[in-house]
Amino acid sequence: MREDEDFLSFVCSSSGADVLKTLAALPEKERRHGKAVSMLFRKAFLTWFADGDAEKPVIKDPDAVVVAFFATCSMTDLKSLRFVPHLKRVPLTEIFAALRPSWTQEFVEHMVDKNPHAIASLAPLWKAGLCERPKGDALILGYYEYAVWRTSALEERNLLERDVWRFFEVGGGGEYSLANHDKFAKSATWSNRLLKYSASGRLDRQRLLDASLDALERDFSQYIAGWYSRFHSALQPTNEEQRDRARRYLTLLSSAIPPTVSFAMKHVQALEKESALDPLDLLEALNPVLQARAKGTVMAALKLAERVAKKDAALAGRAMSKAVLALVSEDAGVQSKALDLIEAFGGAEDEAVRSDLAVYVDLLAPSLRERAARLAGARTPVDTASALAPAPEAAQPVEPVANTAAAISLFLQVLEDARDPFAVERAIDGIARFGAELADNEIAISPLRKRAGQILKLPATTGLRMVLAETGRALASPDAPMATPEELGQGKLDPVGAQAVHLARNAEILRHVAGGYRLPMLSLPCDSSGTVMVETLAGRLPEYRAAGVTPGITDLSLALMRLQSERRNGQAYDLSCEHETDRAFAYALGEEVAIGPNPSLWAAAWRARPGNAVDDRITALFKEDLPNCGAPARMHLEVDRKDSESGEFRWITVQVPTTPIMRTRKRILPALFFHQAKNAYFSELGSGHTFAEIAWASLIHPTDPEPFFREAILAQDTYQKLSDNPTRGYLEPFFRPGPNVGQMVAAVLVYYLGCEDASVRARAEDAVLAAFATDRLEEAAFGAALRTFILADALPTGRWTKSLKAIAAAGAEQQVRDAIGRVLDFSPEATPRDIGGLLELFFELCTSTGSLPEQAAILRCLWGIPGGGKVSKFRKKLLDLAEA
Amino acid sequence: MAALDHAFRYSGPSKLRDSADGRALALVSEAAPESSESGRFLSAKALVPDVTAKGLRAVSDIVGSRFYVPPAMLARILREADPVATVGPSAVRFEGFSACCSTYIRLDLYDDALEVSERRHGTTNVDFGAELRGALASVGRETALGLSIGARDVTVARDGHEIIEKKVPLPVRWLKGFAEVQVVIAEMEPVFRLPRVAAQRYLRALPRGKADHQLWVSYAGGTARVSTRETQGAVPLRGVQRLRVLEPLTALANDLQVHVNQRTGATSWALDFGSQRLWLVLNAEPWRGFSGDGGVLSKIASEDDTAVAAVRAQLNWQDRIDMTTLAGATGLTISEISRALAKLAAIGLLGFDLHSGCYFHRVLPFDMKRVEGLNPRLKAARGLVDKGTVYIKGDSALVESETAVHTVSPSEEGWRCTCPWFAKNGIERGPCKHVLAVEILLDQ
Repeated sequence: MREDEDFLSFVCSSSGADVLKTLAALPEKERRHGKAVSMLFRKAFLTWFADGDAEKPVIKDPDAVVVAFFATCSMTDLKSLRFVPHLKRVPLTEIFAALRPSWTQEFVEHMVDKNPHAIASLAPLWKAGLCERPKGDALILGYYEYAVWRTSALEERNLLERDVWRFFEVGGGGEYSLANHDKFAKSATWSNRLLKYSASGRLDRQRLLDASLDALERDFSQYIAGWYSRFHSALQPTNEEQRDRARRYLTLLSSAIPPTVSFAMKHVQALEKESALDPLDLLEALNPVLQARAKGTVMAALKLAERVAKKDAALAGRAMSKAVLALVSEDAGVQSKALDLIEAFGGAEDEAVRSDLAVYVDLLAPSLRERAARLAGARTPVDTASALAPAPEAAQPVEPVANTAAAISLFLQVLEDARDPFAVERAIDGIARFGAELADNEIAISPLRKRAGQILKLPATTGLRMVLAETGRALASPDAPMATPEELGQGKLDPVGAQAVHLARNAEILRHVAGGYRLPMLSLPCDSSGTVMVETLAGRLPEYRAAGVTPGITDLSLALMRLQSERRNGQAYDLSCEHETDRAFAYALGEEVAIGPNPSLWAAAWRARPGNAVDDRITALFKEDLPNCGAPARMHLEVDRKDSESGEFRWITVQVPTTPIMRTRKRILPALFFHQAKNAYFSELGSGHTFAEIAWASLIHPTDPEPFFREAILAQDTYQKLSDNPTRGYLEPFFRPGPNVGQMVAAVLVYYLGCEDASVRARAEDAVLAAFATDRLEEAAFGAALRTFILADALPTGRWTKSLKAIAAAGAEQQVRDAIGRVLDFSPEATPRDIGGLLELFFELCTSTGSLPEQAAILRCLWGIPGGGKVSKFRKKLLDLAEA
Repeated sequence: MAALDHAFRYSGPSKLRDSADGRALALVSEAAPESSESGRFLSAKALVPDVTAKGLRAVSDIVGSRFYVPPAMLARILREADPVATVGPSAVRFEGFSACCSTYIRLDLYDDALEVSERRHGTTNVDFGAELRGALASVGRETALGLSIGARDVTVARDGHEIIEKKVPLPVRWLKGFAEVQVVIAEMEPVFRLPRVAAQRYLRALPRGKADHQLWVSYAGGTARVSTRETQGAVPLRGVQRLRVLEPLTALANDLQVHVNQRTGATSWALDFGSQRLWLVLNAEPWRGFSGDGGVLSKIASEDDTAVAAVRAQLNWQDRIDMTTLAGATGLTISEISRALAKLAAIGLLGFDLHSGCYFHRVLPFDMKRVEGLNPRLKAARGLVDKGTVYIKGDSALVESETAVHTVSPSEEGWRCTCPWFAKNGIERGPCKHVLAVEILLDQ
């Protein structure tokens, strides 16, 4: 055989037939040049298009390369193939018949196992007797692949004699399953084909019925199992056929797949009507069904138990014991039905039933507790409304770090995890106090230099982490000054966002550190409310004066924004008005001073000043009207529903227009940036995009969080589910001591309770509880916001119902009852969808709190609510309750 | 990622068959017990068959689960291992470990759960196919269920004589985690106990989908409360979907006992059926394997293996290893025995039973010898010591690591370090390599 180059030249310039003829003449061991051919094969078929610089080899006949590949390749090459190469002129059977490779069987089994799609290409090999037909499960999966079946690659004889029965043993997975095939196959489904075979007598009907039940007993997933139950039903078993399989249906009631249980229940119900079941066996088999989650399934099981008890009084005791099991359901309807059964058959006289029932009494719906207690012979539970979940702790002091070691340790810690904004602020304060010493201690600073450098090189570093890392880097390498927002992270840091403020504040601190000063950070919060006490700031500023250092504008602006509302009497402090910074502090305390020239500082001072009365001198600094810059921002909530053209889809739109309208995006201004957020433009959120960033931003103006919560509303995407949803950061202020809740805050809570993401809803539920526990949230504000969102009818009401139920169960029954009461004030045509659950909850809460729905607006609303089912049922119950 | 190829080799599939006495669950094991003509570890009748069957199914479910898939692994075919069965003098245990290494499960069958006719002590893998899992769901309270574990229980399967062989690459972290979880369990303390109905309600109320956010579970006034806020007496919970395996069994249990490891945040959820107990142990986060918790690193870093050898010599398939008895037999102190037991657990020779508060002897049927030397943190620490980059300076130490010098200093909670690993994990996940290096040097 010639050298590689010659051989490749021969392959590239010959036809497939010629190459086959030449190579087939050689014994398998003498067919060399495998490595070179393999490379050619890859270049020709696999990689040339992926490599922009590579030239596609010039080949006369691509079949020639495939033939050469099969003739010379190793098993490793073959196993790396993801598909069987396509041949234009030379059939695969001809190649394998001529070459007779020793590895044919191994190759075929490997390819079929790896990719059932390959069956279409490889079936001719075993049909021609060149290898044996593979026996593994993958061959069966091939039947589940639409394209393979369409090519008629698989033999009908094999199918009917053997393979079809393995359909019921091999469930498959991913794209290969009967369920998946039939879902996309329109009428050409396997189900239809097997039904035809059965109808024509080519497949044994009885065996098909049994095999489908066998499959349902296997551990197939819900999606896959669905095909077998549908197929069994499609066979339409006769009464006799069902009777023959009565035991199997009863067994399937214990399936772990809820739709399989529902399927079995239908057959069991039919059999029971014919009295074809042993009643004892039936009652025993109902155990798992009575504790199922699906209400319909449990109700059906209760009906069966009831029928058994009616037919045979001797079994009434057993039937009642089974009914008790259903009381574990959270659904009041199921509980009521179970109690009906117990009551009807004299459960109150049955000691065993009473004993079992007593366990459940306290866990039932409030409207059923008294009845259950009477049946159980137990005491009627006193209103067991639990105490509200613990309120957030009283403000805890934020202690500055004590020494150099603690400062470096905390800074390294927040570099890794910055979710606690107080730790971040303590860390920066630590740098302000001990940075000068650290910078001189090479051993102490070296871990920070290394780590900060590593973080800054990471491609996906978040804004806050970048700011912290840059602060650490600049501290450890003072020769290179702090980067600007534009320089940092190649433009990833929003130059008017919260982290730009953070960066500017840290740069100011590092300038003092570089000067060798040990000064406190002015904006370090004094306690866990996030505020800075007036006397503390009044004490920190003189330290700067004594050191001859002018405080940083951003640091002081933040300190003023965080200034506690109490003790604003300027005369109580020794206020120097020599510098602009001192004047700004005095102004924040309510003193009259000369204004300017730094707009940002004065906007912050104005925001901190009690009353926020319009001050034209401040607005004049900006040369345009800006929100909260000398004149208060006015916000209002707009909740609306949008419908798709077809009416099939609907979604919510929430806007919070602010006046004066913000037109600029150029300034770093702590007083301003929350108003820069625009809905639908996630990148324009000032607080940032991660939990840590948002939590840090929540500390910017803790005494008036309304603008922050405006952004919280605009930032929320109610349809998004994330494993670590950052918007939960917007709820952090609720878990700290803080001011009373305003209009925007109640809206945030309600909006977040309506999110699809369960983690956001759960956090919002706790935030509501915390706000109620601290009396910061009035039922009126909460109810008004709830009404706004529910009546917009843009999100499923069920989400709010579920969350309100959880909040009520955690001790806020009265508050939730009152809030729902405020929702029930709408005209019949404005009735939102899915209101039945809310009415049921309202009914249960009215019962448990003893607050009857007496208000005229509620009664008027209830009279007018249209709809049947649950809506009608609880509308009537509520009206009855009101009359009572 | 380092992995050991383990071939699970069985003479046939495990089966649940109809027999003359009812139904027979024949679990085919990899190994055969020594000195047993029948080739069986166990032959028994299940006295509470529905619980046993559902418990075994739960073990198998966890073994076949992956609660977290690292992005790099998405394309990889995930193969699963099989449960491990241990037959001891008074208990039979089936244990398993999830593919993601974050969840451990064990079913303990005590003597009053089985009517044993043949018993040979030992540990082995048992085959658990999908078909068997499905069949187990059909076992009811009244089913007469025989249970056997043996290498030759099923010799002829479909298509004649059939050997089942499953080659599964078992990542080293999986093997290490499976062993080390015992040490995490040993450090746990009880928190609360939910009565049956409260437990059922609690499990039914958990989110149906994947929920990886931090939750806290507390118990008061007869009900469990789940919150996103930490409250007094609450246990941490993340990845609640891992608890779902308990739901079908809760109706049959007396109560649900909850334990927590305060250091790592791992929790144990045990369903008590009286004669059987099902333990589900969750690591603090579903993406965190037990192998990385490093609770035993300080213990196994010690070069002194004398105590370990002495204690190992005393192991004889005990269901309860009593430290006082061991102290008497070996002449070691309780503290030395405690260290030795932790090290033996970490190499797969012991399990821990929270109910009795004792270790029990079993030998994980994998090649654990190779695992011993593959702990990356320990390896790196030894490397630092060997390079001479650790300097003791008073009560602190300096460790040179590339371009930085890390300071290791003592604190009330233990050693502290200035490395990123310590900054991120603190003491929660064992010592960092720098602390370990200092410990090794001080130990020399």
